[in-house]
Amino acid sequence: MKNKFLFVLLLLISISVVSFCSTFFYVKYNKTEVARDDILVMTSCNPIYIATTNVVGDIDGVTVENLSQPTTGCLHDYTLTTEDMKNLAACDVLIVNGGGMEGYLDDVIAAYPKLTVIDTFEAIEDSYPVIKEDEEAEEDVEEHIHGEASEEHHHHGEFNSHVWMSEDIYSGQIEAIAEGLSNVDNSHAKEYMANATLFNNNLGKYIDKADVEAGLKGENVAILHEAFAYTAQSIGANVVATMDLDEERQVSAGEVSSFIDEIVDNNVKVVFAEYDYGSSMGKLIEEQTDAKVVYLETLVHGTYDKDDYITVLNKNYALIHNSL
Amino acid sequence: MFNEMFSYAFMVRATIAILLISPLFGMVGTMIVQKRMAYFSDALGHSALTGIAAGVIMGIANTTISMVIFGICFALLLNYISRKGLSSSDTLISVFASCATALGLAILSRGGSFANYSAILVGDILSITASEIIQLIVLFVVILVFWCISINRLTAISIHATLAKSRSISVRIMEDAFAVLIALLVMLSIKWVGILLINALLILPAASSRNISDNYREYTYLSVIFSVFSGVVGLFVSYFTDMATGPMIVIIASVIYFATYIYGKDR
Repeated sequence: MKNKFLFVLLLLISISVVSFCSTFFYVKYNKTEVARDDILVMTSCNPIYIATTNVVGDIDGVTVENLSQPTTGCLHDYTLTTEDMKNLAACDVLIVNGGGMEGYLDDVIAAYPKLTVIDTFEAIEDSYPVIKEDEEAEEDVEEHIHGEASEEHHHHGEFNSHVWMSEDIYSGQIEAIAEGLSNVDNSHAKEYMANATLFNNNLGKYIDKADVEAGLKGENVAILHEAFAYTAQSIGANVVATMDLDEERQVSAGEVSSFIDEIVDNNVKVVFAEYDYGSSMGKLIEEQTDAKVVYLETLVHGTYDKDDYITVLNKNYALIHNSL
Repeated sequence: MFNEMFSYAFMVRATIAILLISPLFGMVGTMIVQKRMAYFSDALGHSALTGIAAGVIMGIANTTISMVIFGICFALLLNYISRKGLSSSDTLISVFASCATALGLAILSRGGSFANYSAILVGDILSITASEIIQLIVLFVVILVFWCISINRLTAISIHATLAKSRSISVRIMEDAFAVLIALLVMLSIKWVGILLINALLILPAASSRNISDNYREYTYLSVIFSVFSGVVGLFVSYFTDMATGPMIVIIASVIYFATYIYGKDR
């Protein structure tokens, strides 16, 4: 009897000691501290992180960190880690893509009601050609335009929120970030606006899509990830068939056959897909039709490099051009 | 180290939630293991998806309500059909669990929107709000009261149902009441623990305790201690190592299980 309780006591103490020691050493070798005087800006995903680091530039006393790790799969179902929650508790402003992209946003706003959130989608949705996902979205837009929808009931889930894939809309997001940061940190407002202008100029200067535009403008394309609807929009191509594939998506046989029929009927030459979730379907499409499947990047994963946006978009356009 | 941890409101809330949920898991888990209902609680966890789907179809904004209602109906239906004895209970539970999961997945994945609901697979205790903690306190009190009133009758039924019946214990009512209790616990805590791990938290502490206990009182106390200990240590480790809380709690609970298994085997 005594031995048993001694065993339980020793077991729990041993687990506590091992847990405490391993945690202590993990923290010791992995912890990075943000200076307390710094303004901590959190971003929700790689494209927003890139835009924000370019807008912040070399301004002293402003630190930018991203919530999602580069290895995270889909942004919609990203679950916040303890590190994210700590950063959110300590940060001065959270910049999000918005439009329903960050599924955790409502929880964050509920947990930190005083946190300043810059919603870039909200800033651009009325002035840029945001793509609607279904008919309901049209009603939503109508309501919004006529001011009939209340703020509480205006959900953006009906829109395709992968707006960063269009460099035109992305430039609007960059401006929204600069304006939002200027409101939070007024002393650096001029620098934020100047950096945003410089980055937007660089987008126009270094993103090369002339060849792709020449080859696909007005042509029909199909997509296997809704992010590429903006790639098509950017080069003036018409999306005639969409099948949104991700890690949780199971497609029905009927859906596949009607997708293939659309490709054949509309004489689609190119299909845009993401390799991780679209490669199996891509092979099937290439077998069944004359269309070529091009595997592009969605920018959700990245190297956190300031120039990553331009590099990836140029790579995408080069891949499309090579397929023509 | 601890001062920093509790300087964040979300950690205080998560700790309170763990201190409320884990003793319930430890306590209810003992009866689940005793009555060999591990598969039953697992099936209930999976049926949460269908509960959400039912809520979505009926336009219920708070899917917790639809999950609880569906969970209770699911549990009672399972009990009812099991009593008919047309098929073995493990087969029936498997059929019901598969059917409910498939139905939930089919409805929720319609139009590719399952991603909106997939967070429930792993759970997120860090995002628990103050009002949801009040909900857990109510659950804690309800289960504790039920436990104090019914534990002797439940134990009698788990040992020998016919004998319990001869002692004027209403076996059917008690079994249904216990099934409803499990449904409430599973459905109200699944958002924080996750479908994939909830059964592990229900079963592991009780199974560990069973490995070394000599009587029912010891069995219950040790199960609650193991459950609370796994919860608190798991939360502590996950906070500092930036790993998901649910899996970390299950890892600690698993270590306890293996240690008690080895100790219990050699006794």
